[in-house]
Amino acid sequence: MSVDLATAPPPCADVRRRAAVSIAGYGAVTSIGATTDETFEAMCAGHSGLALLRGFDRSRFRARHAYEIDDRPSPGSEEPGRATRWLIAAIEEAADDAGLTDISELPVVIGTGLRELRSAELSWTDGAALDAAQLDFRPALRRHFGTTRVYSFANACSASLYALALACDLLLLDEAPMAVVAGVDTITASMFGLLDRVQLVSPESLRPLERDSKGVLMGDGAAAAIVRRDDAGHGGRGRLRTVSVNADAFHVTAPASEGIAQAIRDAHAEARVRPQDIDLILLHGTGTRLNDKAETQAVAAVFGNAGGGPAMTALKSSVGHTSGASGLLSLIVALRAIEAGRIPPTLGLENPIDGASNFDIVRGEQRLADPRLAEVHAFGFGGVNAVAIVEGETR
Amino acid sequence: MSVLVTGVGLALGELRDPRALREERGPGAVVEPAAILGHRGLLYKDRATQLALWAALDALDAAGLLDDRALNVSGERFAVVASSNFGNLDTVCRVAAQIAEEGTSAISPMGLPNASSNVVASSVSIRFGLRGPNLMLCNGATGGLDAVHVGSVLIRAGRADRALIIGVETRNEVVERVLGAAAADLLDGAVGLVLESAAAGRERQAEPVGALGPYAVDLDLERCLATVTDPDDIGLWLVPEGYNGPAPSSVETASRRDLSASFGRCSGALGVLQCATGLAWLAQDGAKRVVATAGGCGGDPVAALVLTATDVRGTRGERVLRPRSRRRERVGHAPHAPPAPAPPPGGLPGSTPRARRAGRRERSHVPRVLRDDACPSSAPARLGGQRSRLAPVPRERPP
Repeated sequence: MSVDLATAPPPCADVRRRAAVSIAGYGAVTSIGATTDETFEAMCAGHSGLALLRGFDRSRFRARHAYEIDDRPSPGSEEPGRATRWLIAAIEEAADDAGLTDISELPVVIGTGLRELRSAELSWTDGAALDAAQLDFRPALRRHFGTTRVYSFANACSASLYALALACDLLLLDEAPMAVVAGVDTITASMFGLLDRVQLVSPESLRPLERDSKGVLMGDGAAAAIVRRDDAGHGGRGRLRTVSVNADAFHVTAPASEGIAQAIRDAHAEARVRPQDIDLILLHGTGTRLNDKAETQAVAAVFGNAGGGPAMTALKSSVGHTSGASGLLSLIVALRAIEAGRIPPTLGLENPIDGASNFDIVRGEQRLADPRLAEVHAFGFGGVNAVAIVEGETR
Repeated sequence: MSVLVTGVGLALGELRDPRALREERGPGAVVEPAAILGHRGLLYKDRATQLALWAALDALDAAGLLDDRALNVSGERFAVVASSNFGNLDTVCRVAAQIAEEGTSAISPMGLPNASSNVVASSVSIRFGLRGPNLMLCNGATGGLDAVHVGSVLIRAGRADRALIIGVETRNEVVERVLGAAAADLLDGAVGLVLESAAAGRERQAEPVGALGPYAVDLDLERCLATVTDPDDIGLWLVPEGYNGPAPSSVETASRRDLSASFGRCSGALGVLQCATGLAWLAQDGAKRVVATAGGCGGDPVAALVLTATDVRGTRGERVLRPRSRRRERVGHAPHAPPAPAPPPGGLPGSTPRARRAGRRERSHVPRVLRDDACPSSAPARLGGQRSRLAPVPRERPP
């Protein structure tokens, strides 16, 4: 191989700016709905999936609540493979929404915080059978959809937007004309228990950006989308302007507002938008003091906090922190909100934390609005940040 | 855009020199990562993370990217892609068991970062200040090769100028039982590769040790190899873990090697170790190309990745990627051998329409992967009833 360095292109930071990617279809499964429609309508109606713990032995945890998809065979029983089931359901809905009957040729990029680690836990503590290959989702997807090229990323709570970024790059590099992107997570005893251990007081609900929030509670969920090259600008369910990803390189669990602000600025630059062009922000909003403070500072640094900024909402008080699924779920809800002209409210927010009091956060009940351009945040353990900008299809 | 490999790092016990990968021997005696990294900052890191940090240090150093163990280029567009399937499995299972026994008040809060599978990739970024895309691939047997390809994608798509690829697995009671394998048959180690765009390499006058060729995933081993190779151009075929079946025609004349015979089952680390081995082989044998393959058992797809020797020249034919005038302090192994001569012109196989068509053919056919008798056993394991036998996770106090 010989490379002519005089004519070789420079590192091509411009390449992905030219990619036109549309969302051809989407799907979601959460504690408040088995489909995108059900989930979105439940969010707008102010419903939440909050309930007493149903799968775990409550006597072992201080925290009593979570946002579970309670599809276990009988109350109180546990079964392995639930995350895989929701993942398949969300992908089926997305493929159907995109009008695809066969997705076997498409690459599938999955973002997950906790893989099928709940199945590993059940195998270890209760003796359920475990095939090492089922820890990621490839064998199940191959059996169900016939897919061959599957990438499973364990990228904490920004995993599904990271997956979206990689899928877009595959389209951009002509490795595929279309791709499946998905995010999924089920609550593991180890993660739920460790969060229970480190939180001073056990929260009874998740309250994003709330001054009196006690912390985060996990939720079950899956989200999926079909992305495709769309140089003709057909749009489908909406257009992806960009996904920016980076790492704080700061701390294994604590976020850094500088890294988050950089991811937002990078997203704006790549999408060629200004802060004032953004109509709606889907906040990461985990209800933890560290995240909410860092995110608020980052948003204020980019958008200012004198008021008059974009509308914002945070979904985790409706569906819990769905970890790897949360970013893509927020993106799908953003597109749905643009299409429906309705923004679901941030439940449980009464007194915003310092720095967020001038943010235009939708509270109490859904807001009728006409957003066009939405920004979606997802940040994960280890300081892995992802910010997407989407343009929706209005009715 | 070509993607170069400019550094190889090993955390494979006493096997410290990448050139030794040519020999059919394993890692040798265990070396504790703390002996290389120092104890500072390792206290609550799980073993996979410690091994990954060691391989990262070694790879960055071999690439000439460190001064006094600190990065000497910008970390802004420096990606990390790590691959591991079992890195944090023991933390997850042991914490769950301890909760089931004693409740959450008994567990150490310091286990929290390790409960998230991306702790390997994020810890590497934090230690070396790598602020580009940070990805943790948990993708089964093909994960290592997939990680190298993902690093290449991030560079070619303009998200990063450089990417540090890490493949790591470790062994412990949990992994042994999940895989139904004895400790001696499992890798406890990590391998790192530094990938750079040609322009980023040129900018700092890096010394490439090879370049990435085409990559493919397919349900069929023979078709997968045919997609990425031209007949007779492969000098070494690195076979999928434990594969002892026949050689497809495209690699019939190549030497073949099963690294699991030397290193045990490598799972998500295999592909990265294969690349390191392939590069060592290219450097010393003067061959044009090697191909690494992974996966294919139990109906799983196969991934294949070609590595080529490099000879990157400027317009007037002079070598522009010169060895660094001042070699950095090394972590203990000799410098890489100089790059082998360039392969003949004509572009990389697999980038041609013919090769792409081959990759698209018959994807939906009944899998014709590896013969079952060519694969290691992979029966589902039952881990249960072991709760009371577990050694509790040591209780530590936060500092």
